[in-house]
Amino acid sequence: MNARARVLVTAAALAAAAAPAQAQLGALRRLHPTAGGVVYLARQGSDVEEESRTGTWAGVDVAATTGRFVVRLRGMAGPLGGPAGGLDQDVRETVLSVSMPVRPWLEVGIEGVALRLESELATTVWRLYGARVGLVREIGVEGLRARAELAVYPLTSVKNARALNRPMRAEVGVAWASPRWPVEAHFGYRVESIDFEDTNDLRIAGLVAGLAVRPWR
Amino acid sequence: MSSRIRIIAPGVVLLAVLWVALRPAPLPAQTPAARLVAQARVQLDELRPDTAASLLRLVVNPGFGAGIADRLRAYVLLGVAELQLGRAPQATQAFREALGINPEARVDSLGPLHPELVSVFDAERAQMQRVRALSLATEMSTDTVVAAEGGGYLVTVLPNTRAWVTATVTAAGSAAPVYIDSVLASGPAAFTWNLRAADGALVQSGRYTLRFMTRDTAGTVAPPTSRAIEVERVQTDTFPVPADLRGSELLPESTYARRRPLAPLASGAALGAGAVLLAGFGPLPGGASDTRAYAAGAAIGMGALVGFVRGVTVAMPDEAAIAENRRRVAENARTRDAIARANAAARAQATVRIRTVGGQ
Repeated sequence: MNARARVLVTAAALAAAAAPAQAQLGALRRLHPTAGGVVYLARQGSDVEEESRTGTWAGVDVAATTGRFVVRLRGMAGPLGGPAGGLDQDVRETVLSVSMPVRPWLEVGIEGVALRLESELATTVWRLYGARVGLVREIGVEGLRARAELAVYPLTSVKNARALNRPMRAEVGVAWASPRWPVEAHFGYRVESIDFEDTNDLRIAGLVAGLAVRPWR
Repeated sequence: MSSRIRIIAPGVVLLAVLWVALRPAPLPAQTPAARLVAQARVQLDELRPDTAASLLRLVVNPGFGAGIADRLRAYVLLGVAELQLGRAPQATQAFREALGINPEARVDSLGPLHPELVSVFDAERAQMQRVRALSLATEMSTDTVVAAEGGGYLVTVLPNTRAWVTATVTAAGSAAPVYIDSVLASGPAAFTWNLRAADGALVQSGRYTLRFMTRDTAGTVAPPTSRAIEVERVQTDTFPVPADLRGSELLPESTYARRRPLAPLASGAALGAGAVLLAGFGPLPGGASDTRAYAAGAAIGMGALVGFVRGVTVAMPDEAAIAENRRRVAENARTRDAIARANAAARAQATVRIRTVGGQ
């Protein structure tokens, strides 16, 4: 167990010890979680076609609603590769967000993204911190909603790469929650745009699909 | 010869008569009770009160069949034995029994058996005289009918001296009284039982015991007196109150219509257009659109279109049905209220018959 894991475990133990077990169980009953898998058909583009790369990422998407807050953790990993040699990368993306609805159709929150790109040449790590806005609208079919998300990351840190400028993420799609079964699914198109301070933009985009279950409601 | 016989025979007869007449009469046989009492007395003289008490309890046992005199003497000696044993309350009880048999009984001759015998005995005699002196006269209707609502059963009491009188009414087979009241009376006083149980409800028909306890201001308690009474609720005609209207007795207050609202369709169109716009921000070189975004846009647009075509079922209030239901509910309420008032009036006119049972 490394130092970070030890810190996390210690923090969790302290948080658990601070409340009686029954209160923790009560809080657990008020928790409405969803958990499932997510697939991302990613394409990293560039102004130069030969430098474009594609890959299929897969991961897990876990969310919990407690009170007015929705906490979501999504982790995906997969390759990015293309015809040009030496550019293949293994990508690992972790997104943690906390949101709250301000209207039935509008939610706002904060989001942190850690993106790790590992290649034979170097390992690059981007950490992005910002705000997110989500729109959700019923579109007439029970359980089916159209959704859109926009996240901007004014705070960034970069390791082994050029500095970032105005990174952002947008996603539009549909989500469906079965009225009979504890199942949810979503499908959409996602674009991540990153401007480098000294050169052109970098875009990662593609279709995202996921399937999740609600253990209890 | 014959003359001698004639002379002797009258003399023999005369002697025989004289013997029968003048012989000492035999002593009457002692009864078993008397023998036990005598033996107990011997035991007391020899300071063996335990043995004496055992013998005397046999005598005072009703099954033993001792006569009044023997029982009187046995109770007195039993009290002596209890005194010798140091059990004053039991001694007092035995003396009370003895005085109950003969209020004039005396124990002066037994004084040597215990130094406190005479004083204890005389104190109990005085107490019993006070108890006998305390009496309570009661007066009540032997057969009466009173109103169930607001009526009451009146009993008048008259103690012969200033005393607390407590009256209780207890249902047969029950220990807890349904009525209890006390009054300090120096003359006639009245108790009125309102025929209500402790919970305020009219008592059920049945047999009840009316009991009086009297205690004068010196603390002397007279033996309780009681009287059995029979309570009979006279039946009255009431009508069942109808229940509230059930849902099935009311008309549906909504009509349903299928509508096709434009807002979801517009939302779908807008977000679908957003997906198409995102295609232009895709990763393709030269700003070419990423056609995969169209799939997301198409999913949104198709969903919205299907939703619009299917429409939604909207409930519309049916004013006529609502008015009709209000009328039915109001009519039901009026009916219930009228029946409830009629029942209340019938109950107000209901009566309860109360009779005393047996002697006092």
